[in-house]
Amino acid sequence: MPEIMVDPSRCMACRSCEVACGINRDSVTKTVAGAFKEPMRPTPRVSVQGNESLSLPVQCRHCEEALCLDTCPTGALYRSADDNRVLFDDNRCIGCWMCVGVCPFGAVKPNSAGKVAIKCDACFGMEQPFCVEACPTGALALVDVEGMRQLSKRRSGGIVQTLLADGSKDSPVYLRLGYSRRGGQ
Amino acid sequence: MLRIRKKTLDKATEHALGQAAAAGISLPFDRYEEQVPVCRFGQMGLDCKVCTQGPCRINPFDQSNGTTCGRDREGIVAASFLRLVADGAVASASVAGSEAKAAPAILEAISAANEGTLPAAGLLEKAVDVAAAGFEALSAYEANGSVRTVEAGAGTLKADKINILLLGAMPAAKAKEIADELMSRPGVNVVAAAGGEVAGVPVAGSYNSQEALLVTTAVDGIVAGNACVAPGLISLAAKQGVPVMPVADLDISRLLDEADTHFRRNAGRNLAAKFQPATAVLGFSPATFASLSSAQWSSLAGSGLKGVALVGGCNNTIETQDAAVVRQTEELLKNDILVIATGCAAAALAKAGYMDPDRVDRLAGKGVRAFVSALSQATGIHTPAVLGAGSCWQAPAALELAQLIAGKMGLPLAAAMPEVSRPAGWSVALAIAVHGVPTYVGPVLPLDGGLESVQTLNGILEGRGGSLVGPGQIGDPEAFVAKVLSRGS
Repeated sequence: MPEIMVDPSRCMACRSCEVACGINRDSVTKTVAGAFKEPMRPTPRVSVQGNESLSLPVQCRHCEEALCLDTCPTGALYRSADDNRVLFDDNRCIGCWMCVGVCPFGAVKPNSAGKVAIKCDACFGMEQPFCVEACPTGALALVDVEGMRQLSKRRSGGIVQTLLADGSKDSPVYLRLGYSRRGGQ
Repeated sequence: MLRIRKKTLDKATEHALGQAAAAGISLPFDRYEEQVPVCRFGQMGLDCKVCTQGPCRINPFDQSNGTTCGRDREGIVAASFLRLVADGAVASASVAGSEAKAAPAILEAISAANEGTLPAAGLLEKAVDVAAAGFEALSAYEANGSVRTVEAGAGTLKADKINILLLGAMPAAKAKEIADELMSRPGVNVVAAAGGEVAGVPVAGSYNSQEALLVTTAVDGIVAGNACVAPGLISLAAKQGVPVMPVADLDISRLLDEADTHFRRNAGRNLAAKFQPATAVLGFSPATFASLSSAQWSSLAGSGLKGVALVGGCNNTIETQDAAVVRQTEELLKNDILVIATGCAAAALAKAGYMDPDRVDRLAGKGVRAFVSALSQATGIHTPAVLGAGSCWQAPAALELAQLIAGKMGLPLAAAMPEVSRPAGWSVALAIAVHGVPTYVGPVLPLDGGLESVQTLNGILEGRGGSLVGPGQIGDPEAFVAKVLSRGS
């Protein structure tokens, strides 16, 4: 099953993914103009985090070993049999916040009313998640496991080549790889 | 993302940050941090929302795309920069009251930015023209040019007096009149920030400190000018019951009445006594040097000074407030380069004690020390290590002073605005470059989104002897110093 992959070096921190997610997945009107006036403020499931030099969107990673699943006492969080995603049933949620406490990515959060949790379901059943569709630079992409293998092969090859090509040993590795203080490469 | 960073070098502002957090008040530093990471399309000048077919964004990772109207990456960056500079020229012209003079250049700039006929290089040429026109208009702004000794920093607020803050740009004569009138009343203390120092009163803080000054509850009333008054200050003043009156329809009795109410309500609670003021000798201008004889000039020339630098600009929350200015100045002074300061950068240096004549030995290298003592002898003014030349709006006079000293002594001249943020600051920075001065701006240069924009602009400036570079071109204070010195050889 393809996963949402994040490339921080392409993230411009424009928050288009947050807006698209909030409007399309958590508003009643599904329009920009309408969503911001709704009494229940739409909450995006993805959140752009970072500092001046690096930023990236964080959403549920649908972990193979998901701590949230282990701690949920009511079964509101469950593993989808079809596509292995970690899904959420708000009718069974009791708002105990165990999932919020254990998620290492901070990907599960209280909804705007603060009654039940809310989390990314990778736009379950859709061809492409809204965040991926909204990203203007390709920092978010849907990649399957084979794609991930290719990506890691490319990356590791690139790193070794960069290190071999640059003889100077006095600058830190991350500088030789082209990460600058601002903007990123 | 949680990342702890020092917000400011200003002790009072730092103290106010804690006070504000406890009281649930947000200051510019908090509001910026809340938004980090900020959108880099805007930061790099890669966005445009002028028409309603967009807004358009240029994907910097994709070489092929353009806006709906078909403007390319370089064009969009140049047009954004042109609008920034034109905005600054508008502010300069309106502060100086010479809108009519600058209007043709500003109109031309805005229409060039909106139309599609000019390529990126043409847009940047318009930016150069409009910055020059704004600067020209600004030179009509008259300020009183006498050197004076004042206090600086939040310590200028007095716990036992009604403190009135002159804030933002205002006509110099009017500011002086208001300050004199206020000070003639018993128990009233007048201070200034972000431009009001033109009245000749002590400078309490700079642009991003204006709200922090209110948090101390020691500011009892505000006279607001027409530029550099932050919207956040207006709402905070309303919450705290501090009267704000514009210069244009100032009713001094009513202002003092309301200020007195605020003062009495906060009696015993204001924090003014906590802060120590610095001493500052400032107000240097070409007039200060007018009476020097050629013998005196040659004694100055024998001081071993290696260059002259104009340090100016605003505050920028991306950087620790005042830190880049102080770091740059420290490096310049150490390397025998004379520093002339304007704007909020001058306020930063005054607060940090760089304009205290008694601290010259601790701050400056041999060349600057010798220059300062020769100048003290020649003019009879007890001269500090950094020559304060007034607010941003006196930048033309500051540049004239820097050019005078550099010219008479045959020294290289450069300018640094390491914390520039406001449009007027950008307009002034570009205008200084247009006047043949290599200029450094930081902490961001919004031209960096273009692949060739910085080179294109510098190609235009080259003919006039100046340049404009940012952190992408010159990364640190030492490199800037090296650049200044290399101009001399």
